[in-house]
Amino acid sequence: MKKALAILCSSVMIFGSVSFGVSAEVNEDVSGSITIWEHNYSFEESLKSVIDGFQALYPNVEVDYEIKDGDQYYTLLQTALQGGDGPDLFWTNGTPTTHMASYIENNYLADLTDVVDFSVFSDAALEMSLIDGKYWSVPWLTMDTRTCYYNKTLFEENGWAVPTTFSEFEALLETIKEAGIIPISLSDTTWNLLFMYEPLLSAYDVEYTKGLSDYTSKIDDQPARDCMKLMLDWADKGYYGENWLGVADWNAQLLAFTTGNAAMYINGSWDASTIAENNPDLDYGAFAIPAEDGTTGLVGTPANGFSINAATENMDAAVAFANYCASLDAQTIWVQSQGAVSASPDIEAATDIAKEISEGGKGNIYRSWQNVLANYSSTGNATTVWENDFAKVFSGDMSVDDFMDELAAEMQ
Amino acid sequence: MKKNRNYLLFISPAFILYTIFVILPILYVFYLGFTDWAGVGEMHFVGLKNFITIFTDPRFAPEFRNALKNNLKYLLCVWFVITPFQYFIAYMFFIKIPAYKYIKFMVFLPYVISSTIVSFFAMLVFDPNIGFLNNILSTLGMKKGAWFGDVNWSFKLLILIIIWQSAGSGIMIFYSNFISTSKDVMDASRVDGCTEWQRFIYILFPLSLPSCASIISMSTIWALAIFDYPFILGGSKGGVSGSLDFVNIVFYRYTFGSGLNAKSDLGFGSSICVVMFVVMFIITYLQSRILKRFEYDT
Repeated sequence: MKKALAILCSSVMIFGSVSFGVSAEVNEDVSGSITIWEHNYSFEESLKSVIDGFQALYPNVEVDYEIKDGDQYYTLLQTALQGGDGPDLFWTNGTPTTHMASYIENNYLADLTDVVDFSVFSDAALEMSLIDGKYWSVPWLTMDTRTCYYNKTLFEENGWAVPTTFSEFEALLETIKEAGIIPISLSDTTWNLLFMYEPLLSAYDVEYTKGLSDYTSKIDDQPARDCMKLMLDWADKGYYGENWLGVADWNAQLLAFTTGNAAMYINGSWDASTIAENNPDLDYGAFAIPAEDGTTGLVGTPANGFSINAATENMDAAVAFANYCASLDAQTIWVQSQGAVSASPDIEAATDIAKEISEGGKGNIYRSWQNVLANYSSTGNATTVWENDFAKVFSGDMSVDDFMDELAAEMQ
Repeated sequence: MKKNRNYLLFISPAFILYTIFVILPILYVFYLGFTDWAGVGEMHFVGLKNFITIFTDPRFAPEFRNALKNNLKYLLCVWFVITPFQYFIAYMFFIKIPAYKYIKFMVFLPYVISSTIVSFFAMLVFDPNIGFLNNILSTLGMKKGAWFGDVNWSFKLLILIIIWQSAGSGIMIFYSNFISTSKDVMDASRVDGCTEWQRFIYILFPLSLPSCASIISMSTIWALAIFDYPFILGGSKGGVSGSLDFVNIVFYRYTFGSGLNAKSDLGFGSSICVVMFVVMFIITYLQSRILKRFEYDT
């Protein structure tokens, strides 16, 4: 499905831009070859489409790409950069992790501030790229948000309705459990716990979550503690299944939902197409967990994209590619071929589920709780502490208060 | 008289290659252990700071001790559970238990399956929600388990899976050793009226001691360097409550993850390697002193 979307999107864009000269002219002055590194196969088709679009405008530039899938991505990248064999362009997480900052510190990244046209991006979208007042990467306008996926068939068969208040949501969990079905599929792994905690927190206390945007809400304020305790209560009540601690990873967590063993699955919007690929027959939808007054919102940010290796031997072609990525054409190809939620009003989401996720937020966008850790840590270690200990709270090795106190000690 | 040094020409290629690809990297890791190198950027000499951190840091030291404890626990399992099991099964094949050819094939078959596939099998069996073990238990009206999410089970299941997947190689070595026993000796023992038990105690067992020594030596090193199965089954965090955490996983987590200070830390990772090298050296040295007694001239 993703492949078909990618081909369709790129064909339309290439045809549009080349045949009618809509957005750019063909440039034959820039030549040579560049190599790009991506970190996950789920982006391969989109990347191929973007490269096709780029090469329609820059026919003399040869573009190769390599997907370095798995946990070794940064290790391989770091080794390559250190050895002077780094790719011309490569993906990083941007500001949420420390890799990009570390590469800047060691002069591995080219400053894109004055060489790339960032006009299609909002300030929020550029946050991922901004360090010390300069832009170091080109973001993607896919909205990386969290949502609650639900099995429509199970809901219809059992007469369950999508909740409109937080109390209804909590009551629904009990109802589903009584029906002998796992209400929410979850695993005791750091990021997957986070992707449930953040949207839950945004519904649990809207004002607190809004305060995260300017750090008037602190990381360990009472609502953050209480919401985490609520998640633990739900674990005790069996809302994630009686033995959920044994769910090894994201794959197993996802399978419990796609096989119909769990009624809901709270995770990233980027999982939408994976769910469809995992079980094409699954009839599923998505909703944002509502606050008690019915308010809903989306927690998240646009995604980060490619940076340019400062040591590239073909800076002109690399900059041309980065500029193409920053164009509305490339962004549209990427967002639509990913089947992702759009972070731009100028780009329409290509799939029904992406539209459903987007509409579920009713226009409210909240800052991620974890993003605050990365941006307001006085020691720079808050993310590390969180990454090390978050899962320990849920396996009972650490109390919520000890964990929050530990985090607070690392924050401004 | 001039000494003939032509032999140097024969050993120098291997010596040079071995030095470049084995000795120098080991020395370099020792050197890195005394630096704060992140893998990129400048490298600073920090003396014994990394080693002091390993044993005293309030966040890291308990994790390291727990991982080392798991390594030693696993080592004991290798010595007292896995190797005796391999030996016993090999002997069963040697005395030709019914359907031993079929069983031999079945026992060795999992050895050719990659550890990634094994972990997928493990999920299909042990996952609490979609695994068929819980489905069977549920059908029988029995209590379902969290398996790898239960600290009382996770380590035992790891051992079980390792036995299932990799016991075949040791079994084959023992079995080869048994069948290579001189036919004359075995025939003579039968003529002399030896019982099966006597043949085992006085002939097969003594003759198999060298292969025992080899397998125990290799398994010990493997046990202290284990990474793939616990990583795949328990993740980079070392499973629930660190029940599947081993030193190599800790090394991986702190070297290439966000480390102690929110960045990759090859210097600190190297110091973990040095400590583990010392631990392995001591254990294998003591072990080799004991196993030396098993050796004999053929």
